[in-house]
Amino acid sequence: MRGEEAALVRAARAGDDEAFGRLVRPCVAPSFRLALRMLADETEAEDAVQEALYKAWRSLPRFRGGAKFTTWLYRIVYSECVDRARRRRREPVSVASLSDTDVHGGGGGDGTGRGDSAKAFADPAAHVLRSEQRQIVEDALLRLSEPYRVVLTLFYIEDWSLKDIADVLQWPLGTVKTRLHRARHAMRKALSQTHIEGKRGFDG
Amino acid sequence: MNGHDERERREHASLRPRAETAADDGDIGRVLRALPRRSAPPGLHDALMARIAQERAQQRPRATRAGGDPRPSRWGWTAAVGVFVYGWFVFVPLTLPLSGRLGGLFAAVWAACVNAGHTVAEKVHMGISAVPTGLEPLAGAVVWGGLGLAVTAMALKAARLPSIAIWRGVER
Repeated sequence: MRGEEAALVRAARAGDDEAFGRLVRPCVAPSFRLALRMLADETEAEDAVQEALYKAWRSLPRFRGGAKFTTWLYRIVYSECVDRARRRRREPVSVASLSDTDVHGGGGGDGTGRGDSAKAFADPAAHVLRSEQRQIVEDALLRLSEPYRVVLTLFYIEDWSLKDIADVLQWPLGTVKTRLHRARHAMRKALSQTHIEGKRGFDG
Repeated sequence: MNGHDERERREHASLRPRAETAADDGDIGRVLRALPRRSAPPGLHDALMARIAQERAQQRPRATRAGGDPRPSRWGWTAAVGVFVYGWFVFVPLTLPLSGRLGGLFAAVWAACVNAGHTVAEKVHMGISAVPTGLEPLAGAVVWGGLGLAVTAMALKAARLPSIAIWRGVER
Protein backbone atom coordinates (compact mmCIF):
# COMPACT_ATOMS: atom_id res chain seq x y z
CA MET A 1 0.00 0.00 0.00
CA ARG A 2 2.84 2.32 0.89
CA GLY A 3 4.59 1.40 -2.37
CA GLU A 4 1.44 2.10 -4.33
CA GLU A 5 1.08 5.44 -2.60
CA ALA A 6 4.69 6.30 -3.42
CA ALA A 7 4.14 5.41 -7.07
CA LEU A 8 1.01 7.55 -7.20
CA VAL A 9 2.85 10.45 -5.56
CA ARG A 10 5.64 10.15 -8.13
CA ALA A 11 3.12 10.10 -10.97
CA ALA A 12 1.20 13.04 -9.53
CA ARG A 13 4.38 15.04 -9.14
CA ALA A 14 5.18 14.29 -12.76
CA GLY A 15 1.90 15.92 -13.74
CA ASP A 16 -0.51 12.97 -13.73
CA ASP A 17 -3.67 14.55 -12.35
CA GLU A 18 -5.53 11.27 -12.41
CA ALA A 19 -2.94 9.84 -10.03
CA PHE A 20 -3.46 12.83 -7.76
CA GLY A 21 -7.19 12.21 -7.88
CA ARG A 22 -6.68 8.60 -6.83
CA LEU A 23 -4.35 9.69 -4.04
CA VAL A 24 -6.74 12.16 -2.48
CA ARG A 25 -10.00 10.28 -3.01
CA PRO A 26 -9.79 8.29 0.26
CA CYS A 27 -8.85 11.46 2.14
CA VAL A 28 -11.80 13.55 1.01
CA ALA A 29 -14.35 12.20 3.49
CA PRO A 30 -12.09 12.35 6.58
CA SER A 31 -10.97 15.82 5.52
CA PHE A 32 -14.57 16.91 5.19
CA ARG A 33 -15.45 15.52 8.61
CA LEU A 34 -12.49 17.28 10.18
CA ALA A 35 -13.43 20.55 8.48
CA LEU A 36 -17.05 20.15 9.49
CA ARG A 37 -16.10 19.66 13.13
CA MET A 38 -13.82 22.67 13.04
CA LEU A 39 -16.04 25.03 11.09
CA ALA A 40 -19.52 23.66 11.91
CA ASP A 41 -20.77 24.81 8.57
CA GLU A 42 -21.28 22.37 5.75
CA THR A 43 -20.78 24.82 2.90
CA GLU A 44 -17.68 26.31 4.43
CA ALA A 45 -16.29 22.89 5.24
CA GLU A 46 -16.79 21.85 1.63
CA ASP A 47 -15.06 25.01 0.40
CA ALA A 48 -12.23 24.53 2.87
CA VAL A 49 -11.60 20.96 1.79
CA GLN A 50 -11.65 21.81 -1.88
CA GLU A 51 -9.33 24.77 -1.36
CA ALA A 52 -6.95 22.72 0.77
CA LEU A 53 -6.77 19.87 -1.72
CA TYR A 54 -6.28 22.32 -4.53
CA LYS A 55 -3.43 23.93 -2.59
CA ALA A 56 -1.99 20.46 -2.06
CA TRP A 57 -2.08 19.87 -5.80
CA ARG A 58 -0.28 23.13 -6.42
CA SER A 59 2.25 22.42 -3.69
CA LEU A 60 2.93 18.89 -4.87
CA PRO A 61 6.37 19.79 -6.30
CA ARG A 62 7.35 20.90 -2.80
CA PHE A 63 6.32 17.60 -1.21
CA ARG A 64 9.62 15.93 -0.36
CA GLY A 65 8.24 12.66 0.93
CA GLY A 66 9.62 13.22 4.43
CA ALA A 67 6.20 12.56 5.90
CA LYS A 68 3.41 10.30 4.72
CA PHE A 69 1.44 11.86 1.90
CA THR A 70 -1.79 11.64 3.89
CA THR A 71 -0.16 13.33 6.89
CA TRP A 72 1.03 16.14 4.64
CA LEU A 73 -2.40 16.42 3.07
CA TYR A 74 -4.34 16.48 6.34
CA ARG A 75 -1.91 19.08 7.64
CA ILE A 76 -2.87 21.35 4.75
CA VAL A 77 -6.55 20.72 5.40
CA TYR A 78 -6.11 21.48 9.10
CA SER A 79 -4.20 24.69 8.35
CA GLU A 80 -6.87 25.82 5.93
CA CYS A 81 -9.56 25.22 8.54
CA VAL A 82 -7.56 27.02 11.23
CA ASP A 83 -7.16 30.00 8.89
CA ARG A 84 -10.83 30.07 8.08
CA ALA A 85 -11.86 29.72 11.70
CA ARG A 86 -9.49 32.52 12.62
CA ARG A 87 -10.88 34.72 9.85
CA ARG A 88 -14.38 34.04 10.96
CA ARG A 89 -13.58 34.86 14.59
CA ARG A 90 -16.69 33.30 15.97
CA GLU A 91 -17.55 30.09 17.64
CA PRO A 92 -19.99 27.81 15.85
CA VAL A 93 -23.47 28.20 17.20
CA SER A 94 -25.59 25.95 15.06
CA VAL A 95 -25.54 22.22 15.17
CA ALA A 96 -28.16 21.82 12.47
CA SER A 97 -25.57 21.09 9.81
CA LEU A 98 -24.21 18.23 11.86
CA SER A 99 -27.49 16.45 12.45
CA ASP A 100 -27.80 12.88 11.33
CA THR A 101 -30.46 13.80 8.80
CA ASP A 102 -27.61 14.88 6.53
CA VAL A 103 -25.61 11.70 6.76
CA HIS A 104 -24.73 10.62 3.27
CA GLY A 105 -24.96 7.06 2.23
CA GLY A 106 -24.68 5.00 5.39
CA GLY A 107 -21.36 5.98 6.87
CA GLY A 108 -19.68 7.04 3.70
CA GLY A 109 -18.59 3.64 2.60
CA ASP A 110 -15.95 3.55 5.24
CA GLY A 111 -17.09 0.23 6.55
CA THR A 112 -18.46 1.51 9.83
CA GLY A 113 -22.08 1.04 8.90
CA ARG A 114 -23.08 3.84 11.19
CA GLY A 115 -25.78 5.30 8.92
CA ASP A 116 -29.11 3.97 10.00
CA SER A 117 -31.74 5.38 7.70
CA ALA A 118 -32.98 1.88 6.91
CA LYS A 119 -33.36 1.06 10.58
CA ALA A 120 -35.36 4.26 11.07
CA PHE A 121 -38.20 2.77 9.07
CA ALA A 122 -38.08 -0.42 11.09
CA ASP A 123 -38.17 1.27 14.50
CA PRO A 124 -39.08 4.98 14.30
CA ALA A 125 -39.25 5.49 18.07
CA ALA A 126 -35.77 4.08 18.61
CA HIS A 127 -34.53 6.19 15.73
CA VAL A 128 -35.92 9.37 17.29
CA LEU A 129 -34.32 8.48 20.61
CA ARG A 130 -30.98 7.83 18.92
CA SER A 131 -31.27 11.11 17.03
CA GLU A 132 -31.90 12.96 20.25
CA GLN A 133 -28.91 11.33 21.90
CA ARG A 134 -26.68 12.15 18.98
CA GLN A 135 -27.86 15.71 19.04
CA ILE A 136 -26.94 15.96 22.71
CA VAL A 137 -23.45 14.65 22.02
CA GLU A 138 -23.00 16.85 18.95
CA ASP A 139 -24.16 19.85 20.94
CA ALA A 140 -21.75 19.08 23.76
CA LEU A 141 -18.90 18.56 21.32
CA LEU A 142 -19.53 21.91 19.69
CA ARG A 143 -19.31 23.64 23.05
CA LEU A 144 -15.69 22.60 23.41
CA SER A 145 -12.82 24.78 22.36
CA GLU A 146 -11.32 24.00 18.96
CA PRO A 147 -8.27 21.97 20.08
CA TYR A 148 -10.41 19.74 22.28
CA ARG A 149 -13.01 19.29 19.56
CA VAL A 150 -10.36 18.41 17.03
CA VAL A 151 -8.46 15.96 19.20
CA LEU A 152 -11.64 14.14 20.26
CA THR A 153 -12.85 14.00 16.68
CA LEU A 154 -9.62 12.61 15.31
CA PHE A 155 -9.04 10.12 18.10
CA TYR A 156 -12.53 8.76 18.72
CA ILE A 157 -14.53 9.47 15.60
CA GLU A 158 -11.78 9.09 12.99
CA ASP A 159 -9.87 6.43 14.96
CA TRP A 160 -6.49 8.04 14.37
CA SER A 161 -3.50 7.07 16.46
CA LEU A 162 -1.97 9.57 18.87
CA LYS A 163 1.14 9.72 16.70
CA ASP A 164 -0.86 10.49 13.55
CA ILE A 165 -2.69 13.25 15.40
CA ALA A 166 0.61 14.65 16.65
CA ASP A 167 2.07 14.57 13.14
CA VAL A 168 -0.86 16.27 11.46
CA LEU A 169 -1.56 18.90 14.08
CA GLN A 170 2.16 19.36 14.71
CA TRP A 171 1.69 19.10 18.44
CA PRO A 172 4.17 17.19 20.59
CA LEU A 173 2.91 13.72 21.51
CA GLY A 174 2.69 14.70 25.17
CA THR A 175 0.51 17.67 24.26
CA VAL A 176 -1.84 15.42 22.32
CA LYS A 177 -2.19 13.11 25.32
CA THR A 178 -2.74 16.00 27.72
CA ARG A 179 -5.28 17.68 25.48
CA LEU A 180 -7.10 14.42 24.92
CA HIS A 181 -7.32 13.89 28.65
CA ARG A 182 -8.55 17.42 29.24
CA ALA A 183 -10.91 17.19 26.29
CA ARG A 184 -12.53 14.12 27.82
CA HIS A 185 -13.08 16.04 31.04
CA ALA A 186 -14.44 19.03 29.13
CA MET A 187 -16.74 16.77 27.14
CA ARG A 188 -18.03 15.16 30.29
CA LYS A 189 -18.67 18.60 31.74
CA ALA A 190 -20.40 19.76 28.56
CA LEU A 191 -22.62 16.68 28.59
CA SER A 192 -23.52 17.34 32.21
CA GLN A 193 -24.32 20.93 31.29
CA THR A 194 -26.61 19.71 28.53
CA HIS A 195 -28.17 17.38 31.06
CA ILE A 196 -28.92 20.29 33.43
CA GLU A 197 -30.23 22.54 30.66
CA GLY A 198 -32.33 19.74 29.24
CA LYS A 199 -33.79 19.15 32.66
CA ARG A 200 -34.63 22.84 33.08
CA GLY A 201 -36.29 22.87 29.69
CA PHE A 202 -38.19 19.73 30.56
CA ASP A 203 -39.33 21.11 33.91
CA GLY A 204 -40.14 24.59 32.65
CA MET B 1 -27.29 13.11 47.38
CA ASN B 2 -30.84 13.06 48.78
CA GLY B 3 -33.71 10.95 47.54
CA HIS B 4 -35.25 13.70 45.46
CA ASP B 5 -32.03 14.29 43.53
CA GLU B 6 -31.56 10.59 43.06
CA ARG B 7 -35.09 10.23 41.64
CA GLU B 8 -34.51 13.16 39.28
CA ARG B 9 -31.22 11.64 38.13
CA ARG B 10 -32.92 8.32 37.42
CA GLU B 11 -35.79 9.99 35.56
CA HIS B 12 -33.45 11.96 33.41
CA ALA B 13 -31.27 8.97 32.78
CA SER B 14 -34.31 7.15 31.52
CA LEU B 15 -35.03 10.00 29.13
CA ARG B 16 -31.51 10.08 27.73
CA PRO B 17 -30.14 6.73 28.65
CA ARG B 18 -27.18 6.02 26.46
CA ALA B 19 -25.29 9.23 25.94
CA GLU B 20 -25.27 10.47 29.49
CA THR B 21 -25.06 7.33 31.49
CA ALA B 22 -22.09 6.35 29.41
CA ALA B 23 -20.62 9.77 30.08
CA ASP B 24 -21.25 9.37 33.79
CA ASP B 25 -19.30 6.16 33.61
CA GLY B 26 -16.44 8.05 32.07
CA ASP B 27 -16.89 6.33 28.74
CA ILE B 28 -16.65 9.37 26.53
CA GLY B 29 -15.06 7.30 23.83
CA ARG B 30 -18.07 5.04 23.47
CA VAL B 31 -20.36 8.06 23.26
CA LEU B 32 -18.25 9.71 20.58
CA ARG B 33 -17.72 6.54 18.58
CA ALA B 34 -21.49 6.18 18.37
CA LEU B 35 -21.68 9.38 16.35
CA PRO B 36 -22.24 8.85 12.63
CA ARG B 37 -19.24 9.31 10.35
CA ARG B 38 -20.37 11.48 7.54
CA SER B 39 -19.19 11.05 4.05
CA ALA B 40 -18.17 13.99 1.91
CA PRO B 41 -20.74 15.63 -0.35
CA PRO B 42 -20.89 13.53 -3.52
CA GLY B 43 -19.58 16.16 -5.91
CA LEU B 44 -16.64 17.34 -3.85
CA HIS B 45 -13.98 15.16 -5.43
CA ASP B 46 -15.32 15.75 -8.93
CA ALA B 47 -15.43 19.50 -8.36
CA LEU B 48 -11.83 19.42 -7.23
CA MET B 49 -10.72 17.45 -10.27
CA ALA B 50 -12.65 19.81 -12.55
CA ARG B 51 -10.89 22.77 -10.96
CA ILE B 52 -7.54 21.10 -11.43
CA ALA B 53 -8.33 20.31 -15.05
CA GLN B 54 -9.33 23.92 -15.62
CA GLU B 55 -6.11 25.16 -14.05
CA ARG B 56 -4.12 22.70 -16.15
CA ALA B 57 -5.85 23.93 -19.31
CA GLN B 58 -4.95 27.51 -18.43
CA GLN B 59 -1.34 26.57 -17.72
CA ARG B 60 -0.81 24.79 -21.04
CA PRO B 61 -1.03 27.74 -23.47
CA ARG B 62 1.14 29.81 -21.14
CA ALA B 63 3.79 27.12 -20.91
CA THR B 64 3.80 26.33 -24.61
CA ARG B 65 3.80 29.91 -25.82
CA ALA B 66 7.36 29.74 -27.11
CA GLY B 67 7.04 27.23 -29.91
CA GLY B 68 5.65 24.47 -27.77
CA ASP B 69 8.69 24.43 -25.51
CA PRO B 70 7.50 24.49 -21.91
CA ARG B 71 10.81 25.95 -20.75
CA PRO B 72 11.21 29.74 -20.51
CA SER B 73 12.21 31.26 -23.80
CA ARG B 74 15.54 32.91 -24.63
CA TRP B 75 13.72 36.22 -24.71
CA GLY B 76 12.65 35.65 -21.15
CA TRP B 77 16.23 35.01 -20.10
CA THR B 78 17.49 38.02 -22.03
CA ALA B 79 14.89 40.30 -20.49
CA ALA B 80 15.63 39.05 -17.00
CA VAL B 81 19.40 39.40 -17.34
CA GLY B 82 18.96 42.81 -18.99
CA VAL B 83 16.81 44.13 -16.17
CA PHE B 84 19.19 42.70 -13.59
CA VAL B 85 22.22 44.36 -15.19
CA TYR B 86 20.36 47.61 -15.70
CA GLY B 87 19.01 47.61 -12.14
CA TRP B 88 22.31 46.99 -10.42
CA PHE B 89 24.86 48.60 -12.75
CA VAL B 90 22.94 51.57 -14.20
CA PHE B 91 19.89 52.44 -12.12
CA VAL B 92 21.42 52.11 -8.67
CA PRO B 93 24.72 53.92 -9.34
CA LEU B 94 22.98 56.73 -11.22
CA THR B 95 20.51 57.32 -8.41
CA LEU B 96 23.10 57.03 -5.66
CA PRO B 97 23.20 60.77 -4.94
CA LEU B 98 19.47 60.68 -4.43
CA SER B 99 19.84 57.57 -2.33
CA GLY B 100 22.32 59.48 -0.18
CA ARG B 101 19.66 62.05 0.61
CA LEU B 102 17.09 59.38 1.30
CA GLY B 103 19.59 57.49 3.41
CA GLY B 104 20.25 60.69 5.29
CA LEU B 105 16.57 61.01 6.03
CA PHE B 106 16.50 57.47 7.40
CA ALA B 107 19.60 58.22 9.44
CA ALA B 108 17.95 61.34 10.84
CA VAL B 109 14.85 59.42 11.86
CA TRP B 110 17.00 56.67 13.36
CA ALA B 111 19.10 59.14 15.33
CA ALA B 112 15.96 60.89 16.54
CA CYS B 113 14.58 57.58 17.76
CA VAL B 114 17.64 56.37 19.62
CA ASN B 115 18.54 59.62 21.35
CA ALA B 116 15.94 59.49 24.08
CA GLY B 117 15.83 62.05 26.82
CA HIS B 118 16.29 65.05 24.54
CA THR B 119 13.78 67.59 23.38
CA VAL B 120 12.24 67.23 19.96
CA ALA B 121 14.32 70.12 18.63
CA GLU B 122 17.49 68.52 19.97
CA LYS B 123 16.53 65.19 18.41
CA VAL B 124 15.95 66.82 15.05
CA HIS B 125 19.25 68.64 15.31
CA MET B 126 21.08 65.46 16.32
CA GLY B 127 19.35 63.55 13.54
CA ILE B 128 20.40 66.05 10.95
CA SER B 129 23.91 66.21 12.28
CA ALA B 130 24.03 62.42 12.06
CA VAL B 131 23.73 62.63 8.29
CA PRO B 132 27.38 63.20 7.43
CA THR B 133 28.58 60.50 9.79
CA GLY B 134 28.60 58.00 6.94
CA LEU B 135 25.33 56.28 7.59
CA GLU B 136 23.59 57.66 4.56
CA PRO B 137 25.42 55.66 1.86
CA LEU B 138 24.75 52.50 3.84
CA ALA B 139 21.08 53.28 4.34
CA GLY B 140 20.84 54.39 0.74
CA ALA B 141 22.44 51.19 -0.46
CA VAL B 142 20.00 49.13 1.59
CA VAL B 143 17.00 51.06 0.33
CA TRP B 144 18.00 51.16 -3.32
CA GLY B 145 19.49 47.70 -3.28
CA GLY B 146 16.19 46.37 -1.99
CA LEU B 147 14.39 48.27 -4.67
CA GLY B 148 16.74 46.82 -7.29
CA LEU B 149 16.07 43.32 -6.02
CA ALA B 150 12.33 43.93 -6.11
CA VAL B 151 12.60 45.17 -9.69
CA THR B 152 14.64 42.10 -10.60
CA ALA B 153 12.08 39.82 -9.00
CA MET B 154 9.28 41.55 -10.89
CA ALA B 155 11.22 41.21 -14.13
CA LEU B 156 11.65 37.51 -13.52
CA LYS B 157 7.98 37.19 -12.78
CA ALA B 158 7.11 39.11 -15.92
CA ALA B 159 9.41 36.87 -17.95
CA ARG B 160 7.56 33.88 -16.43
CA LEU B 161 10.79 32.50 -15.07
CA PRO B 162 10.26 30.57 -11.90
CA SER B 163 12.96 31.95 -9.60
CA ILE B 164 14.00 28.46 -8.54
CA ALA B 165 14.59 27.54 -12.19
CA ILE B 166 17.58 29.86 -12.29
CA TRP B 167 19.41 27.75 -9.75
CA ARG B 168 18.30 24.45 -11.24
CA GLY B 169 19.16 25.27 -14.82
CA VAL B 170 15.52 25.47 -15.82
CA GLU B 171 14.81 21.80 -15.51
CA ARG B 172 11.05 22.08 -15.49
